[in-house]
Amino acid sequence: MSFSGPKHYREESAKSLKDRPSVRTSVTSATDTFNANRSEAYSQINSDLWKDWARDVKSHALTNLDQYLEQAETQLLANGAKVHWAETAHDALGLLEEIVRDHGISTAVKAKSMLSEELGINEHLEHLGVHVRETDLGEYIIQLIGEPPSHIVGPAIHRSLEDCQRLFHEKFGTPLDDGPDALAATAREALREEFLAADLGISGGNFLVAETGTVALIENEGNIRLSTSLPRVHIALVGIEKIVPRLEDVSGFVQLTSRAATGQPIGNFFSLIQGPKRDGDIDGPEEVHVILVDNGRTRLLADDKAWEALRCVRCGACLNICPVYRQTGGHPYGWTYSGPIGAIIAPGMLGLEEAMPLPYTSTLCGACVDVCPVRIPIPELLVHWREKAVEEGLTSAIESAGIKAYTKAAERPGIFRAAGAVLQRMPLDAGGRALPILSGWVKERSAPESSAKSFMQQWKEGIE
Amino acid sequence: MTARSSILDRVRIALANREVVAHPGSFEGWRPFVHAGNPTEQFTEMFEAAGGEVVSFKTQGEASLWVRGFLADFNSLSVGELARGRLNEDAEPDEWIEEMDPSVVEAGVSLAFGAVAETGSLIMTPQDGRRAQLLPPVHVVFVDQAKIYETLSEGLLALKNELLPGDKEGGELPSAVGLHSGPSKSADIGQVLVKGVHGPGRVVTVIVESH
Repeated sequence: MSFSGPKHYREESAKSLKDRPSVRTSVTSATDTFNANRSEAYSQINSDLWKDWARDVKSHALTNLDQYLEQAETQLLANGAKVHWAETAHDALGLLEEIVRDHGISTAVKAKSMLSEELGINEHLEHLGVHVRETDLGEYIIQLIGEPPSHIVGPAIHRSLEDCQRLFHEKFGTPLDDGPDALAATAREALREEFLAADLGISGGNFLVAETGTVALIENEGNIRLSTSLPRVHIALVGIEKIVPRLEDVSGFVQLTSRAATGQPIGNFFSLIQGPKRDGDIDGPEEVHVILVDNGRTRLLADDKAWEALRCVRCGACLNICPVYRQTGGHPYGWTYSGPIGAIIAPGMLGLEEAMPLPYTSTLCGACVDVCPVRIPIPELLVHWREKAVEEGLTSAIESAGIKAYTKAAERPGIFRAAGAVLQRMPLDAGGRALPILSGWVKERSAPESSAKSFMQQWKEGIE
Repeated sequence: MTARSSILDRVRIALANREVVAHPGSFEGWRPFVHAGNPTEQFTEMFEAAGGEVVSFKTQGEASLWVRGFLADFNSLSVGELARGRLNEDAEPDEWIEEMDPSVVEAGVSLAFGAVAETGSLIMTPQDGRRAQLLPPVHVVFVDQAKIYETLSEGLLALKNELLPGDKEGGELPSAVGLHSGPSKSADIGQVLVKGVHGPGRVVTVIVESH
């Protein structure tokens, strides 16, 4: 099931908090675990050096992207894989359709891929009459429920054990008190049959190594290895920003990404896929297709500041730490990529107007930049998009007027001081009605007493 | 204009005035290993911490004898191409293992190309058959101690430079490589850890000290 776009963020987040309090409980608990595990995993390494290294490798790859894409293509072709290029989601779906028709494909198994969510792969396959099955346990759960993922790494973290027990009871008739082990065993059995029968396996790609033409995939369940090993055709959907130059670079990235995402030294399964089955191989797909997808990435690359967001390795650490994301999970954001990273890539990839109000779904507390493994300056980029939103007249008239008035006042010290003196004496409680535009904010909060002297006054007198 | 040239053109236009960032060089790890200079111990600690099991034997004969005993508890088995010779080393013909399709058996046996101490990973190549490595609920893997590499970079480079069956020349990776660093696991249901979700729920590494 797909998203409806970011524009309903305010209503959807309010609705989630009010109508589905269990979402907040589940998301907070899951992200607490992610955060504790990541902190421990970062503490075992010199994370500053790892992050500096990762930032520079990614920036190097992105600032030489055309050359590395060509190198990756050449190498993949030499490995016997087929390479396709898709400018838009529409083009990617068209390429997929061609492969499906050429090979008479009727069933597909899918390994978790955020890019496939972004492109709307499942809906399109169903439209083509292909039975498509998500095989990551979390993705499987939300596919059965009929909702999109709520988190980049843990797609079903907004669902409680009780939700899963009810779901499996309805779908498979399992007892309502089946524990996670029994439920997972039920899923294993159901999905095993689908793995063995599938004609097509679809995956994403965490990294694409230019030097060796390698699609690298991190996971814990083994469903990615199965999806890319058993069916006769494998399609890997890879965003053009996933390039790393050398094979040895993935050694660092798989470890750093695993530590940032789940706190593991490495995902329990790591696939390095070069191409189809060769002479001497006992099994493996007969054809491997790599679809290189743009879909807004070159547009983001063209932004002189926000291009740095393309370093993202999709670990989800910025979601886990974000005090805003943690209240609702990903659904209210209305787009595949939620949380802080979603808020800074959406304006570049979708266009700023389409992405509103995502740059505002943050308190700018800066926790995200501290945990980011590739040092994306997330708060700076949020402010960058907010500035553009004001410039382009995309914000409310009140905010634009407010910012303009503030700018004027701040440029004139006399007016600034006078305005400060007025605010100091202004009642901030809702009863006082001094600030009607803030009534929504102040009616359930009590304001602290204003200081008797302004900061500037204290500064002049010498702060003790 | 093809999609390829349109995308590459847009990339070039986007990068036209951007400063090129230099590659920072090799990933060094920059951390002390608890068992520095002893990759076997480092591997064992990491692999066990991820939920895997490790046993170690002086010779291939001893290792094979133990594995045949371990497998006696299972009703059906699948053995990878490369592991077959190892498993039957020093065995009497009546001890030889009868094999079946990996999709129906209770245990699979493979030979790893090597292992990585830094991450506690077994390096699995396709020559052994990927199905035997993934489908059975229990996976038993032989690895030679001499091929336990200190870092992941070393392990991958060794793999790349090894001449493998089916390759025309060295310097190439096999069609697909899998690093297995413990059993299959998931915490997607109610954030409770479950083992053996799709791949093997039990992985036993059998280290052969001298082969």
